[in-house]
Amino acid sequence: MPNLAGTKKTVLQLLRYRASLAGILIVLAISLLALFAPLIAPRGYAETSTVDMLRPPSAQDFFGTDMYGRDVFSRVVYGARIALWVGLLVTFIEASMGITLGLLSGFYGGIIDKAISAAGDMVWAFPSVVLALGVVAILGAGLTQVVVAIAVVSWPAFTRILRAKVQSLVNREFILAAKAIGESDFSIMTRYLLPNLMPSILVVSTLTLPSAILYTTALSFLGFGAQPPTPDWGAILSEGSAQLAIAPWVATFPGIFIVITALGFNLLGDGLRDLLDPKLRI
Amino acid sequence: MGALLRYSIKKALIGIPVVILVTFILFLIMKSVPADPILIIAGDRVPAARILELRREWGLDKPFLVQYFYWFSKIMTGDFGYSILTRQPVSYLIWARLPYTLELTVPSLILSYVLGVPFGIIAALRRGSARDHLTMAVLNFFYSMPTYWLGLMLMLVFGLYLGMFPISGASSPSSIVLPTITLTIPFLAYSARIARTEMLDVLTEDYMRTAWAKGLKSRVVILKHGLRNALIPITVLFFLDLPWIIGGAVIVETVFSWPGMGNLLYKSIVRLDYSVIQAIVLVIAILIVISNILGDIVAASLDPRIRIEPEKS
Amino acid sequence: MDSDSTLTASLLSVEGLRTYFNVSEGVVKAVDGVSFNVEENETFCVVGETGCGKSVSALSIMRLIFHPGKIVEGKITYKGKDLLKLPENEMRKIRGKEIAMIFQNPMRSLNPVFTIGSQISEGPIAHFNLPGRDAWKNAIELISKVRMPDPEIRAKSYPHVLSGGMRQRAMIAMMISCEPSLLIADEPTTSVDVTIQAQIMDLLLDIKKKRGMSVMLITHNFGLVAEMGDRAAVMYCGKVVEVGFVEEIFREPLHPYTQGLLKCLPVGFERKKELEVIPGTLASPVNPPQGCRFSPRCNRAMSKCKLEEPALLAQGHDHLVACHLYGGE
Repeated sequence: MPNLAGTKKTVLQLLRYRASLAGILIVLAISLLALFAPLIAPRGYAETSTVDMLRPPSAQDFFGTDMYGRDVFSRVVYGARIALWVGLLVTFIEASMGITLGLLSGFYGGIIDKAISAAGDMVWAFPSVVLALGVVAILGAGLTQVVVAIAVVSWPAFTRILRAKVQSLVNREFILAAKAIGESDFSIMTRYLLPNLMPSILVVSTLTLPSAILYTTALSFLGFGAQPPTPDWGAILSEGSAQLAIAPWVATFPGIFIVITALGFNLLGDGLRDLLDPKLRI
Repeated sequence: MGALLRYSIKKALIGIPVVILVTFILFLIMKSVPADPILIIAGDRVPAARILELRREWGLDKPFLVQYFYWFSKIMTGDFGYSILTRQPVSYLIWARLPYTLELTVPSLILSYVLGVPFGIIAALRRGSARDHLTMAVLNFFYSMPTYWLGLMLMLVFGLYLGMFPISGASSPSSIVLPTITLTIPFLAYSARIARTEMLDVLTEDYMRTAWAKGLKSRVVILKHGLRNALIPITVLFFLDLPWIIGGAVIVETVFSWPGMGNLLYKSIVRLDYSVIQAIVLVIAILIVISNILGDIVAASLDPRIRIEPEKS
Repeated sequence: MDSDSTLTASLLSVEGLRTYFNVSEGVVKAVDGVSFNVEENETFCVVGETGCGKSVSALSIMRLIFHPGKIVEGKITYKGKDLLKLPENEMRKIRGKEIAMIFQNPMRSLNPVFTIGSQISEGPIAHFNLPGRDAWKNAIELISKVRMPDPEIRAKSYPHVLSGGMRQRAMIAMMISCEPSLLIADEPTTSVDVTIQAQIMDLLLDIKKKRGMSVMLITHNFGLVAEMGDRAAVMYCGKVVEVGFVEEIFREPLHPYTQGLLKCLPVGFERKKELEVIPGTLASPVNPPQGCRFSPRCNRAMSKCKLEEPALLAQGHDHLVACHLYGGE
């Protein structure tokens, strides 16, 4: 059963610290932006206009227009949707892989553990960008492919952390007691281990999301992610980089939003970590 | 010293089979790629007779493992085939570009650690103070920043508006400045964070309390007992970060059109130049193995617990 | 009426010590008004359950209380000087040289990257400016004095190579290297085998005798107190509840808590039906009960006990107790 009193206490303590408070506010703001994008954005993200190309920021176009005459502000607002959506998806996949593999690895040990750890170490050793690019080279370009690529590349971190946690819990009395009663492995893992892992899972997920956003926008920047006219922040940046000299606003604003969003989640994650699981290392 | 040497040799010897394993995995992946391997090796627009010849040369008409051996021996002699686009031998391309990448990455890595680690340590020592919070906020900020955007902004401000540095290519000596700064800053934030965490961990260890209890001067306690221990994981991470900075280099080189291996990798992926991709990945893999070995050796030299086994009493 | 013991000043005199910790749950009053004396050449034991404040008292004497802890009040007189009023660089000269402390967990208390020899040499180098070579020779001598075999080889060993007992000996060697007058031993045998326990305690007694040192032994093990202690203080919830000569405390425990503790010891070969326990649990250090802290668990508590804190008063020759059951002298 989720501990409601504990949750409330955690939230209250989070609000006491300026850093995590800032994090919460940022996350809320970006989420609202993503949720209500159609209402907030003055124009559609794909609306081109041959008249308004490359106009600097003004009262009508907050962030100016790009080389197709599209309103950068609207594109950035819709971009929040993509960023959060992709971030959540990647985090979900990574968390699922991490929990499953971490549980198996930590609970059973032995060959299973060695195999998973070895695979994880090998993937982890490779620079993520190169590996992700490699996957994209095989699968082709596109947002879905990028999501798969990032998840494939980043699962070792999550798994390693959870494995350590499981190992620290597995020898405790309540697990040994459950085994003695004859509970099935699956039951032990879901009813006893999993609830105890929840705080760590929450912290690691919150800190994984900004990485996911940074990686996916990077791949989009390089042209392998979102395909036009999808207003992924990285893609907008990429288009803007070509006209950096004459229309710097196209590249500047999406970047600011990436930084703010990632910062918000990082601050929130750090705050959660201090409260829920201070010894955690990422 | 004997223990360290033995440990180093042991680690180095393990490295060899690992490299071989990596080449095998690479070969597997290459075989699963949807492209004709002969085109990969030969490039297109090659007469049919030559293709048959190459097929035999590279053993593509033979069983899988034999193919691998053919391929492996070619790799060992440095023959990676030819780039589909430029028709040049891949090894030539890599040799031409490797120095540029090293020129960029090695100073960046060193700089980011040399600047970042003291930052992190001081923040740990002043934990909870305004300076610590400020440092953490700044680090968080740079840690959340996409490298390519940082590069573009630096390009904008210092290159275009202020005209201080060139913004692309490697033509003038000052071309290296902006790319280096762009690559250094995220790693600086990262190493400062790590340094702070490790130092904080060390400060709460029991042996620190023992050192205080001996009545040693606080500088001795912190630097000799504390820092010495904190530096172990930090230095190891320095070596393990070598491959990662290559990853960062891919983006930075692309943004600044810096003629290094990272840039080459990007272009090759865009145009599906598989022979080049394969070669670069192999180089990176070898680099990873080497840096891991170095990291292990450094760890053993700094930490007696690794190189000396407890006696069986 | 003054008792005789105040004619010669004590080696160490703790008066009204209060050390509090400021944590998110509130203020933890780990030590809340503690007073006792340690005389020259004696083994003084501080006994109590885990969490009663005995370790914090010791750390307060050494002034090794760090954030979020703070020594709020008190006077700690050592050889005539009030330690709490000393500037830090003066206190540094006391640590290790005059008052030394060995800790509970020798594996974690030794720095893993330096040899035993160099860690033992540190003290004399820092306090006496001993040149390195002499300090090393001195270290080898100390290693043999703490009864470790092959001292020259041991000196070049790293802590992780040694067994638990040997590490504790190394710690002792480190801390007696500057010939302190008072050695505080915080649970020195808790993480060690029973057989090694006896050896370590034997060693400590031997050193004490040979160097005329006082030992302040912190423990929860009454057996050790009975064997080694000259005098003892029983602590509960941050306060001293009884102080006196060990024989007298064992023979005639005055405070109900002490009585309860002694009853809990499985003594002799008689098979009792059940082990005795003291009902209830430790009071919260953040929110201690009003009045006497032991009153909720005391079977002889009076109404006065819940309102007023009892003062530590003398009952006969050097036997003090803080309990309303006994008036003062």
